[in-house]
Amino acid sequence: MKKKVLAMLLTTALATSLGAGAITASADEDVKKVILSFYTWTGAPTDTEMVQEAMNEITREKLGIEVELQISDFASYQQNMTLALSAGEQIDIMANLSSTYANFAQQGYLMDLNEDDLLSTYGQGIIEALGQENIDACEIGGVLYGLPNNRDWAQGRGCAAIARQYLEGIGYEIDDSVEIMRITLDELNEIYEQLHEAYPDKEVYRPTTTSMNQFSNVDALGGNVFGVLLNNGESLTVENLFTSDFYKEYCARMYEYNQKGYISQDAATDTTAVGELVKAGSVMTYTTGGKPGIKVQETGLSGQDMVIFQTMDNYISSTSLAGFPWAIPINTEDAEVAMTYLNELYTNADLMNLLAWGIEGVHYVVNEDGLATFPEGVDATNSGYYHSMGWELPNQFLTYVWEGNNPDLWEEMKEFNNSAVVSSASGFTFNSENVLNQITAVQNIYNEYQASIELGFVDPETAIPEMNDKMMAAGLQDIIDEKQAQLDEWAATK
Amino acid sequence: MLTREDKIFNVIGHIFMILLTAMALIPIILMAISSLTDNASLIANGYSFWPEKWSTYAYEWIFNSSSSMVFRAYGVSIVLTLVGTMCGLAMTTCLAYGLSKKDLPGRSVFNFLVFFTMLFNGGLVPTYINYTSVFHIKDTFAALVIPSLLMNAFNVMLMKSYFVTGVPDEILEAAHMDGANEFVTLVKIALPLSKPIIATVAMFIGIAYWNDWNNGYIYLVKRTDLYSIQNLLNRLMQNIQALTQNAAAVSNAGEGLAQIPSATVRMAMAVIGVLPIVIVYPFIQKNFVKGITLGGVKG
Amino acid sequence: MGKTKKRHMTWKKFRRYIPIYILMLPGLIYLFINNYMPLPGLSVAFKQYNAKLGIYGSKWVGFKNFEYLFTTNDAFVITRNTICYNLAFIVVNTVMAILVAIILSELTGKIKKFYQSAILLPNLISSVIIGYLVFAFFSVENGFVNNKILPIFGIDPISWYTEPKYWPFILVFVSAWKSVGYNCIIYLSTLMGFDRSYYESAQIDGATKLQQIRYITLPLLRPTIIMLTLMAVGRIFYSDFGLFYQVPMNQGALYSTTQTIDTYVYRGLLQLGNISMSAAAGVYQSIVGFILVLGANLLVRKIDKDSALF
Repeated sequence: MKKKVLAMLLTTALATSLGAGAITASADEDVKKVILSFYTWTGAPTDTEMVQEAMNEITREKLGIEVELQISDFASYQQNMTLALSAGEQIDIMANLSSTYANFAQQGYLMDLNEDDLLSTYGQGIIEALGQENIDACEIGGVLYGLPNNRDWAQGRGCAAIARQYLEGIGYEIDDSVEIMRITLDELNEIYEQLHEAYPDKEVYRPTTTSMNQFSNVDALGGNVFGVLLNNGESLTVENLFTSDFYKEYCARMYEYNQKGYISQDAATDTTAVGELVKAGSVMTYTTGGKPGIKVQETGLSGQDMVIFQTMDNYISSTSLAGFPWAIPINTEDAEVAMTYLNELYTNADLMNLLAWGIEGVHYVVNEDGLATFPEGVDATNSGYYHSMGWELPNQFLTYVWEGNNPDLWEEMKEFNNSAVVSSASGFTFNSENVLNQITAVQNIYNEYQASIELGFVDPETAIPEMNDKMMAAGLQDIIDEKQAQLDEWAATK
Repeated sequence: MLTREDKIFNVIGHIFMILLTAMALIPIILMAISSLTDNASLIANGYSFWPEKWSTYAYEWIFNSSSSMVFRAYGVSIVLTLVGTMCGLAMTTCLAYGLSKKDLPGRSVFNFLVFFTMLFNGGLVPTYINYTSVFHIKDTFAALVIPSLLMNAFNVMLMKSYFVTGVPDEILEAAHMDGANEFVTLVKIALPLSKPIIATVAMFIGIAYWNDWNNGYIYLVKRTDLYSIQNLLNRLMQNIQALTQNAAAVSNAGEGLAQIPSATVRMAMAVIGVLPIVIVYPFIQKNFVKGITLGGVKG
Repeated sequence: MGKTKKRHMTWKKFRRYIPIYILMLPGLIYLFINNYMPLPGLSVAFKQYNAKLGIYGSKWVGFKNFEYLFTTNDAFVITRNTICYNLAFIVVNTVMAILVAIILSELTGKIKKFYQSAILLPNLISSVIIGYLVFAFFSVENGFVNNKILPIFGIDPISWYTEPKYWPFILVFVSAWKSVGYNCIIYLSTLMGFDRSYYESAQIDGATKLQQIRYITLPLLRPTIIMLTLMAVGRIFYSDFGLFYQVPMNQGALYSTTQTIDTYVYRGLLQLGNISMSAAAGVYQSIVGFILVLGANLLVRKIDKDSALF
């Protein structure tokens, strides 16, 4: 044992003293290198270098470009990127979250992709894959800083996932011919009531701080709810969410749930994921965002068969398209090379499959249905490359569908996107620069009240006006006015 | 010879310490028990000192899963703590010894320069730029050792004040008269008289290195093999937290939460982080106390 | 004549100190690299940061980045909380640490080593975990306090995470719990360095332990207490982020007693990610601490010159 420990120490020390020896240097001088940055939930998979090498085999010959994958975990991604970009480190292509996208663009970290016709010269494949109007939706103040990625742009609003065993327990008739059952809110309330009667010891429903958004049809302009468009963004009038009937009714419903004992007293404090709560048998239902494949996803998360209900429309809000844009930072060594590689990512299925699922035969195999799955003896916990971040990658629609899903998943998703209700502000991105102080102050007030009000722990009749008054005093109206002004300006150029 | 009052003092002292010890240990025992609880039973019934269902799954997951690199991280933590403590202690001692010289020319300026660093620093971004573009320590072992941890003003001040009060000038002066140079007086006279504070500062530096995750969080992007145990644990926690916070922006956040270990594994990671200290500490303390008592006997 | 002699002395003295300067050099170089080289970067707090122009090329905007710290209605609450908690920590944690150090130094037997190791353990647990352990005690439905302790006294369950009034006590308690083992080491090592002959002669004079503590130990500890307190005063506008963010489980309903400057800045800027605004908060905290510590140091200098920091 002692020897083992010693050996381990020595190896570590040795590995350490070798420093950054792991970085592969390209032998060929003509080969250009791009650094590609994105995030997964848990950081770089163990076999990242193997996958990187396989990707380079494709593009080295074809384009004369090699890639270096720089994968961070989700939590540290924003900080890592801020630091790396401000320090001038080379990053050629990067993934964004909607929050980082607007911030990075405002602080000047990202390139204008239309400058010198960069996109139209080197990114024809991208334009084809996405459609010009969808690309334009990522513009901020008329400048294109990032490209949308192909995924579920729409979201089915007002969805509830309910474990099948409890539904069967109350004798509910489940329609298995559809993935998502359409019902009204009253019908949902009725189900909850019956569930509570049949299983009084179990928590009926576990709301979280994101549930309000998932159960609404508001357009949260600029990613915050301080000034929103109501009713699926029908009109371009920015309104105060906190004085709207929708918000009052939603919170009153939660308050009622709480009074009836549907919700745990610890709901605001307990951060356990809802799926795990269902898995543990303490919660029966929760809120989710509808999309093709949702049933498989929620069933996987909750460890048991889940039934999905939807009470509202499928909806594309103004922030949906620019949810996870891909961008070229100003730190790029060569923007043309970066765009060329990005173009390849959007169009080359082999490259995309490598990035999404790893190496065929090692990390995944394709069965006769054309679905990808784990090879013998490999699973999610021991695979060297399995991150299930397909939705973040540039063009998920080129990759294999994972086993358990419908083989036509991508077709369904395209249809889902095309048929959804689109906010009239789709493509508008808010620039928060002029109201930063107000947003910080109002955000803090919202944080203070949100959980109590939206999880139904306080009477909304008194609590909502109290919160609203404080927000007004902190400058909520300034934010609303600024959003309206920018929105009007944006609409005028359309 | 103990007086009656002394005996009462002893009894009350022991009672007080027993209470304090119990308060320190009970939550930690709870942590250890939670890590051995069945995950579903923990989520459904809450934390308990006597869970309905026991399980070692959390530990199995940690040691089997390919995504964890626990043993390697232990190695990094141990090497890091040893290297960091030795270098840091040497630098702190030397600087503090100089500052303790009452008639050193420029002493008050140096004192101020050291103290100033306790209040002001350039902030995260400038510090990062400095270390990465001037000194190029990103993704190296040095990035774990050097930034912010190697020496801090607090320890320097602490040690300096000990040198001032605990090492009488007359003894040092006498050594000088005998022809000893500064290095000799430091090593032969001042240090042996200062064992308690050296042991203390060594322990502070050691704990700081063992507990640190921030350097790895900032400076390690590609070298996951250099993660220390606390770094590994904290990344996990941060990921869970970031996921819950950003779930609004990321519709697929739930998928990530399902991949990340649940409640019991979190506790198991904490146990794994503390365990080596619990095992090693008695040995360190043995020497620590010996050092203190040796240092104390003088005069 | 006197003048030349003095200069001569200075050079001689200076030469004698060269080895000392050499000893100090590595430490000073480190402080220069780690703390002073990035210092000009603080200027970003007064600028509108733009990455294309870099920190030094960005446009000056005066105190615009500081405004958000003061324009909020909560500015008073967060400042009050930060200062009051720090004062409470200084008093409670110092008293606890001295008390424990004195008791440990007087006790005999092997068990005292066990005490000392045990009380150090909480310091090694991260705030996130402490947050969950606190939750285990105070959870509304499954917590030990509501389920096991309150029923004994016939008190109804309390919704701890929505009642701000309990949290000052909980947080001060958690802070003491976490730091007593660590802080007492400083005092313990100082105590061990005291000249035993004082105590021996006191014993011969028939002084009891309490008298020895009152008339020998505490006066000897005074310089250490003053120094540590002065250093704590300098950090009075800072707060332990983990303690105030993780331990109350980030509960909005508790802000009136748990929000401090650091948590306010973090929560406000989480979405914005503005490096100028976060630098501004740091500058504000440092400068207030700096002014306070200069004042306090001046005061100490007047009363007891040797205990002053510089």
